[in-house]
Amino acid sequence: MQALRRLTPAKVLLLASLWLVVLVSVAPFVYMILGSFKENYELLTNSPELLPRDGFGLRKYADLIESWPILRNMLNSLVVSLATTVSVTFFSLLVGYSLAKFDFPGKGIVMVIIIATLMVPFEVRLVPQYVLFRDLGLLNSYVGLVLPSAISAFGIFLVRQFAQESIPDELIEAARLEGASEFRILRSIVAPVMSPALISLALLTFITSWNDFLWPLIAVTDSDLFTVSIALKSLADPTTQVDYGRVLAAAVISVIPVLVVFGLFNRKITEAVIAGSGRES
Amino acid sequence: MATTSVGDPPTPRPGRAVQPSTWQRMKRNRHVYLWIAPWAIFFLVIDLYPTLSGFRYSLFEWDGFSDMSWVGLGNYQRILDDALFWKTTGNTLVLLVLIVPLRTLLALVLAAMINSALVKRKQFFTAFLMLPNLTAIVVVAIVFQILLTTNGGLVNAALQALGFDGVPWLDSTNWSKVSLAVLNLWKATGYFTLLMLAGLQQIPKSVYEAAAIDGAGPVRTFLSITVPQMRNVILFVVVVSTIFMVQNIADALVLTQGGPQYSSTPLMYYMFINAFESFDLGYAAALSVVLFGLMVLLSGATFAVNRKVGE
Repeated sequence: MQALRRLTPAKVLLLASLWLVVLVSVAPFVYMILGSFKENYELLTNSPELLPRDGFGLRKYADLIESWPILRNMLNSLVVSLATTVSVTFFSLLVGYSLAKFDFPGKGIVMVIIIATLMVPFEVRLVPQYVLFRDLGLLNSYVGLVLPSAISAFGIFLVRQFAQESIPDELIEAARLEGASEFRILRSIVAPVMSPALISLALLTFITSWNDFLWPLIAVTDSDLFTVSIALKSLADPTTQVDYGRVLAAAVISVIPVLVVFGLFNRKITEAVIAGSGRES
Repeated sequence: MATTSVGDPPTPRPGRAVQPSTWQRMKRNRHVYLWIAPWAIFFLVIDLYPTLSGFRYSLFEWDGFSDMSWVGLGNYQRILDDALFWKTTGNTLVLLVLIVPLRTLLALVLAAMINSALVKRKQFFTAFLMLPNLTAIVVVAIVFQILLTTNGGLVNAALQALGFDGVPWLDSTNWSKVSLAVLNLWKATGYFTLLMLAGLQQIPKSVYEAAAIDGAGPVRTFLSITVPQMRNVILFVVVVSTIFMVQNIADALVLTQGGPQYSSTPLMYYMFINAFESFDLGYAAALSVVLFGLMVLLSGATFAVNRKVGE
């Protein structure tokens, strides 16, 4: 323990490098927050100052809320992300548990399909999926925003892994002997045991969905239905006169939910990221 | 019961397992079919059908509205003659070279540093490393756009204060790709560090103890133990990193708008432009197929290199 406490040159170098990395990670956020109180001439200047000249008045935020339906955009993102999260978690549990604990004819095919969908990137079907949703009349709707990511091969895979590791067969068998139906076993025994994993999956899904960009960009043209990512892109449209302070204010508002979720649950989220990275590869 | 993996009872006659018919197994598991039915429908409608129609569209000329007209492999022929296709494919490859090796190396070194016994609050550092990765790419691109503005952006202001010339980050055909690389390094290195760290923690401590007894220093230990032990994880990171890069579009779309003169338009973005700006859907579908082929090729190449190295 003594050796750990003592400051050797190696340790100083190591910790200094890691703190530098922390600084580099955080600096753009600090710039973003300070910038949301600044005017263009303070942001784009050869003699920059750290603090905003006119103090920390919320005028950029007030201006933004007055001139742009940013709160509506936030609400859209919230609705879409929550719906996606609930759906992904629910269906991942159903399918992941089925694959982990039942030996049903067709299981092999289901596994192959899930691994294949994990590997074929979404981008490859961007065009045909757009055509499909247009023909179904689902563009510019919440359903159209949620549906493509309502079930996730990643989530199924993750739940299957956890179910294999954490649900003892005896537990299920005991419940079955007492005459519990399969759905009841799932609801009152499996789901509670799996809840840490399900919460991790839900948190990760929420963040991914909140940050989603490409599909909302093409699925929605009505600015009332913009998610916050798409609103940001429009606000920063370089073909218009951009008020950077106002754009940064919108950026700050848009990252608050993610920062809150990550601040509260960063340990669970990092666990899910590692678990989901494909231990079987 | 013999077929569910849950608590198989002893078979009636030892040595001769009674195999229930497929039909019996299906009947016993009928609730499972009900549970996976929504997924199956989802797969057919949202995954399989569009994937197949993508291949079909690639054989037609179509603006998305009027009648489709059959061109056979015409779109693919057009791709071969399309200077912009070659240019954007080249951009994607240059970006890969700029980003993937450096990001992989940085991730491995950072992970090894965090994994060091000298660092106590590992969770603290990994949390901050993950932060950029969990931030929306649009937000990151907007912040970088302001930071990297040629006239008066903070980065150039700092360079000038230190006596260097400003760099035309977003306004030059050479630097636009570098700017995209900087953004991608900042955003995703932490994610890969986390994957590397998870891999490092799987390496048995005894291997390191043996090296310490042999008197190996930290650099030597890193090169002769960590790197070989981590080969599979590194390979995984390279493949995922490559796939991320090839799929990426939002960064270029917001940071540089692909410019100047298509210098920072990756192939994926070129496909997007054809589909949603030129409404050349058949051609865009053909580009998607090529893009998919490229991804398979790049992953395959990585695995092949790994096998060579392993021999």
